[in-house]
Amino acid sequence: MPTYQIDPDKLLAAADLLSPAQVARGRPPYTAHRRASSTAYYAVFHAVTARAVDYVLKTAPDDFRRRVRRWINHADIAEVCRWISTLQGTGNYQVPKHIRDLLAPPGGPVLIDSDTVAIADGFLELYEKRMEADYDHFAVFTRADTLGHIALARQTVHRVETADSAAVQAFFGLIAFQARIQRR
Amino acid sequence: MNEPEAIAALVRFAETYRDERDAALAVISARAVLDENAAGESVTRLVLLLPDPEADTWDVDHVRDLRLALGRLGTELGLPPVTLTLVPASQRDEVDAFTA
Repeated sequence: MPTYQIDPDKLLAAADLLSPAQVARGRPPYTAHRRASSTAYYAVFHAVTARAVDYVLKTAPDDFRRRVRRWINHADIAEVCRWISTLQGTGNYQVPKHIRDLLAPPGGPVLIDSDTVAIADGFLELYEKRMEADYDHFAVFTRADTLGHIALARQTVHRVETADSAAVQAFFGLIAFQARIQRR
Repeated sequence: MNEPEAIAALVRFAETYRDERDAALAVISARAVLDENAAGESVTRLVLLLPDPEADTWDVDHVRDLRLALGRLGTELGLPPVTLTLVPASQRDEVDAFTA
């Protein structure tokens, strides 16, 4: 029986098809580059939703977890990534005091490591690129830059699926709580 | 420092950026503009002209270091978050930012 679930690796493979690394003659049109960058972003997005839900609902049935994954939206993830970015000095977003005290307590250990920084950076860069790809008529997507987006997505998906430090667990836990149950 | 001065400082920094590990990450030229994204959020769009990468694209980790360095300076300058567009030198003529 076929399954139709969204698989980050298959999205990355689709991005590769849209913007292949080796082209015999000519090159894919810029529209294909846009779709490749957008698809690469979605690979990361779906890897993050899987990890966040698996983290808090580890033993729930597969269908249950897939339904809950739909509750996590793009902004939920971006918000947590922006906290990380700001606390690392690479962004100037608002970070609520209770979140700041949680992730970077005064005098206490900072609960941000190189994996969370890389995941947050990769997500935010691709989140922005996806908006450019889908909506910005002035955006430029060179072939080399597009292949860079796919490479960044591939590396970020790998980190999302394998990194397991306390900081990474806290990161995915916060994303899951961002997408708390609400009236829908 | 006002916004045009901050943008100019960011561009100056970008144009002096050299990654000692990676000859393909020596910025040739940079253009920056304040804009808003599709969600209405302010962003600093930075277009960088780089030497063509040796492989199909530039090294992911080295580009991240560049992006974080620019993001750190942009934050210090009070600019909105920085997002990058990378242009290989061989495609310079195809990008308005470097031909206008």
